[in-house]
Amino acid sequence: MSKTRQLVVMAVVQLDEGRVLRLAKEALARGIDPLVIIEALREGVARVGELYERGEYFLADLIMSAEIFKEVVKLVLDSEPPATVQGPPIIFGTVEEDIHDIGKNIVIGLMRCRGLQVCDLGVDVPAADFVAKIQEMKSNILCISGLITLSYDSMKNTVALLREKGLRESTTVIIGGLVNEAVRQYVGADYWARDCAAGVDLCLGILNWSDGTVPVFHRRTYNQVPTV
Amino acid sequence: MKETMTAEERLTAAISCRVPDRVPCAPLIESYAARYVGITNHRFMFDLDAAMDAFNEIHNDFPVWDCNRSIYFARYGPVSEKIGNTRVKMPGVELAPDALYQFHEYEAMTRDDYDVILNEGFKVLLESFWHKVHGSSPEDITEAQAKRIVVWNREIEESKRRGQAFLYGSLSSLPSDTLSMMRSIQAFFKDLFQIPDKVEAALDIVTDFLIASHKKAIASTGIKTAFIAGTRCSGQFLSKKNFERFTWPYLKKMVNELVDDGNIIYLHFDSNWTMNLEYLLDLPRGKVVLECDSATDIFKVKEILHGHTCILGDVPPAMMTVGSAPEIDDYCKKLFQVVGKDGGFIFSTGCTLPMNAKNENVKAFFESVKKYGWYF
Repeated sequence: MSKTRQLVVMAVVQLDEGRVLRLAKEALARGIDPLVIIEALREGVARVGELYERGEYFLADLIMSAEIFKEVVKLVLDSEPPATVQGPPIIFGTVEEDIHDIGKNIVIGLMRCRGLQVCDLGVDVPAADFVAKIQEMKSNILCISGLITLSYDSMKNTVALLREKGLRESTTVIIGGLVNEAVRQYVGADYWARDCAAGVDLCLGILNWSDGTVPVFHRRTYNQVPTV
Repeated sequence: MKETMTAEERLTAAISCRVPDRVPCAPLIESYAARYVGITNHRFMFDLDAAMDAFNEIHNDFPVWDCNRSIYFARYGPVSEKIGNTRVKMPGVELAPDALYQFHEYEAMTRDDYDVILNEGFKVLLESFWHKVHGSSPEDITEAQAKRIVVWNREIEESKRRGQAFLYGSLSSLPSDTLSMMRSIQAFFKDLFQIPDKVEAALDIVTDFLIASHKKAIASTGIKTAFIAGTRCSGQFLSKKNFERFTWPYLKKMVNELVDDGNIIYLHFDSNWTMNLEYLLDLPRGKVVLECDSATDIFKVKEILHGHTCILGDVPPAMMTVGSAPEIDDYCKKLFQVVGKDGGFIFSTGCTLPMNAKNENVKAFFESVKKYGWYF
């Protein structure tokens, strides 16, 4: 399998969906465990992420790798790919008054490639729905996004409601979209990310951190600010 | 200080990278207008008279606003609901009455539709696309196109009456952006990797169609300028190789052909184009305005394009919303002093002035022109 694994990883890095699908079909026909194929895919997507981080690959390449992952998972598994990171899912959605979802969907696709469990609440999500889902799933990471400036107040209201329900300290809040440090401060969130890949790395880092391991923050496009 | 030029003269000087009496002031203001004058955004988007009154009121309060770069004519409810390039959700229709209109992109154009472009032309696909996403009949399309020209000409007329220059005589997106919005961004990027030759062939046809559309619109409006929007095919999204294949040749062709026809080009480039700036040096000198939305490093733009391409921008929308008036003043001062140095600069917002911008920030934005915008 190690050769097949290498070939799958290489084909993902080359963003050659046809070749990845062919290799996956051949591996399945040889009786190889679908989960092994998924792992090879994940490694390929992670390498695409590294190339992106080095400035050699671009957003279209990242999106393409996530699309390949999605297509192959459909082929080799009947269900969603298993999460490799344990714990409750990340709660994700576009906040109330905003229906933009392109960035959100890209980030969620990449998160799933990297083994994260995500609960996608969609767009125009009221603060109460985010809070109810966090309570229901016992989640500790909330990702809220928005592309219009009206979203800032919705983000702020969501954080305020978390606080009111006594969930703020146990929940790491990340904002994404048209955001920056000033918006993070206005909203009262913990982190902000404008870069899709940085948002995924950030969540992985936080989850590792929660598990007691040292966080690996190695991108410069988000800020690390401790929860107040 | 005293103005010695008309708005048109000032704008012309800035575009040709010369030094006017002061920096032209051209915010993209329609998202903000309704709330400023106290009407719902629904009324603003559907009631032409109310919208024109709103623009008048803003100009009355801030007469330093001398260049109207409105694209209201394309966003006007009865137009965008019938011939918009993506499905649009409007205030008071799908959204709350005072919401901001928003685009809802989905994969409305299929991969098979490239064959329609190649075999039957882009016009055929566009009309079937409008039918699919808006339910528009051929009569609806004709009516919406006529309404758009009426609104456009009204905007031009009102701007002239106020003593403003009106910036845009025609409007489209880049060919690659046009297809990306119709296909949806993920599907379009997948096409670039999987059927690149077919995409290229389609882009050739779309480019010719868009150039012809610009020329037709310019003939109707009498304003010899073209607004060309580009967001999703910049270096933020595409590698150099893909940029050179799917963005640059079509962008260059559009600009050159329209300039050859005697027009000025406004490249309304949202997203980060910093790594593509050198390409623009290959476009005609003094005929192009680069509109920056604050994602592109406008100070880098100055370093690279000064004296060649006029720069427009870029007070960030987030700053207008959550920042303070002194912060706005500081940022504007820097824009005037650095980007405005030796001319070739149009002062503006980074893309649109947000609906929920603080009024004191908007005031600081306009006041800064009077404080720092003078050359003589």
